[in-house]
Amino acid sequence: MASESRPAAVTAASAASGNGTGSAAGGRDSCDADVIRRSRHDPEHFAVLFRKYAPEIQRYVTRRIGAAEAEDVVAETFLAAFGQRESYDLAHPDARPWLYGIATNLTGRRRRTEIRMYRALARTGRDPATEPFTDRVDAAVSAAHAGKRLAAALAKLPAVYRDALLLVAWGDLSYEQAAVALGVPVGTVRSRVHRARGKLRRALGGIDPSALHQEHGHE
Amino acid sequence: MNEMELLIRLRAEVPPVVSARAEERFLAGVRATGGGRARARRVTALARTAARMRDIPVRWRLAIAGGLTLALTAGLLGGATISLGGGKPPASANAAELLASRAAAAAAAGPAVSPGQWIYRQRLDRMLGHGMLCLRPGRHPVSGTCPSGIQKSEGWSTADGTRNAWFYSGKLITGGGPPAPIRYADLGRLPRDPVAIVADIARKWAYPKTGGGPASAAFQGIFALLGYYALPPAVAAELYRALADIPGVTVNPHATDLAGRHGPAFTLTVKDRPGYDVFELILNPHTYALMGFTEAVHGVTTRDRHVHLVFGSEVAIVRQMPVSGPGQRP
Repeated sequence: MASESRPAAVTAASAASGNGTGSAAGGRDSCDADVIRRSRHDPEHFAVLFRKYAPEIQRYVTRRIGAAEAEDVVAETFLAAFGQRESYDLAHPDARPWLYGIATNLTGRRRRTEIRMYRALARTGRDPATEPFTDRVDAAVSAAHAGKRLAAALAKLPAVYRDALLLVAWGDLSYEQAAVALGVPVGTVRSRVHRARGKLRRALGGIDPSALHQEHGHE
Repeated sequence: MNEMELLIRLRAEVPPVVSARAEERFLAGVRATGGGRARARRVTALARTAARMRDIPVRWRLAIAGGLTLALTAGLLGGATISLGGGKPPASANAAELLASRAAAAAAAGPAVSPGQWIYRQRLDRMLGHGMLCLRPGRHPVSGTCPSGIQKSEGWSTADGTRNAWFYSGKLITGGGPPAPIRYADLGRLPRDPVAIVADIARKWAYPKTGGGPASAAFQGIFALLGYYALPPAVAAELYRALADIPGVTVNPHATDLAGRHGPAFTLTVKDRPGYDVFELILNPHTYALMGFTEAVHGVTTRDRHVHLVFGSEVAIVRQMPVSGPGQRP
């Protein structure tokens, strides 16, 4: 319990300073393992990880399956992590790959929802993931023709390719971190991302993705 | 722009925010998963209550998440407890100064410790209010919340707070911890004047992150220093003297700590719309050493302003003394 004697206001205030912004990157790598270790005997301390990473995890999940179900997945992700904290390898100071891995697994259980979202975007240009946050003017990418083609290609990707690609693109994980998240060798991640990118590139064909703003507003 | 850049732009249309519902679900789950673990319930309760109390300023929520936890946690290490506040008018304008003087004298006479000295700490703590209204049939407005059970804990830390140790599943675990706003090595550079100490600590203690005004920040800072470190006697004495200079601090001559022990206490009430915070630092009536601490946040719900919520914590320091190393008990 010695760590209980820490001035919790310090840690809480530090966490709060990044609350809701996902900007608590400073010192992130140096203290996740400490937070988890402490949470093993001081469960409430696990909330520090939630405050620190929930915003970016929710963005990742929302982007994949939409806001409505993302809330549940985010809660389930952190609850699952909370339940597994005893088995977390404290040699890994950064908990993000672990959390993204759990979130990806849980998202995978809603694969139909994810595919449905991509197809809806591909068909209509209306993006269910961004509707709660943006108006049509702001939704430049998703409303654009390139966005539709991209969504259609994402829907057709094998799940393992999509997971690897989106952990890198939407989760900001390195290949090494994505490998940890997925529990596969880093070479496998490289291969999957490479193949996924090739498929997307082919799907986009001759479309110039930079021509987004010219096309936006068709809807 | 290639396909990766396009993907990243697609992601950028979703902001990195977490919904209140997700947070509530997580916290509720922690409570359920934690079973009988009162600690897990604390966060759940406090956060859920805070979510309901939309009228309570953000700083309150920070105070709930941080300041209260501070009180819960810092009690282990403490050399003394303090309370801020300005609640009831002081019975005597000099009572706080007198108590501070006695506590400072006792602290100054304490043994010196080296920064790496291991300290054994044992305490009791209890959360006030799980964040769940404790409904009282036939009574309206409802007042109070359900108190949790009393929890006993023990641990070890070095005097300078850089090393901690605790037993988990029968195994001694050691580790470090987050840095404090004032490093142990810098304690000697604190101002000598009590009023200046209050101002200095209020400024350094991440105010307004800790919530409340300068008095509250000063209280939380001083309390954390007293709780976090095993302080050099002269520094501890100065911090006690500074307590009396925090605006609003009064003395409750008949406080009772969580272990049922009686003693005088520094008290402080910090008013804030639509509620108030109450802090109480209880000293041993004979030795004037830190004995217990109470912090309570009072508020009302958004839906029903007649519903009075109380949550916070009580801490009693049972044992605290130097030992030869982590895992060693006196």
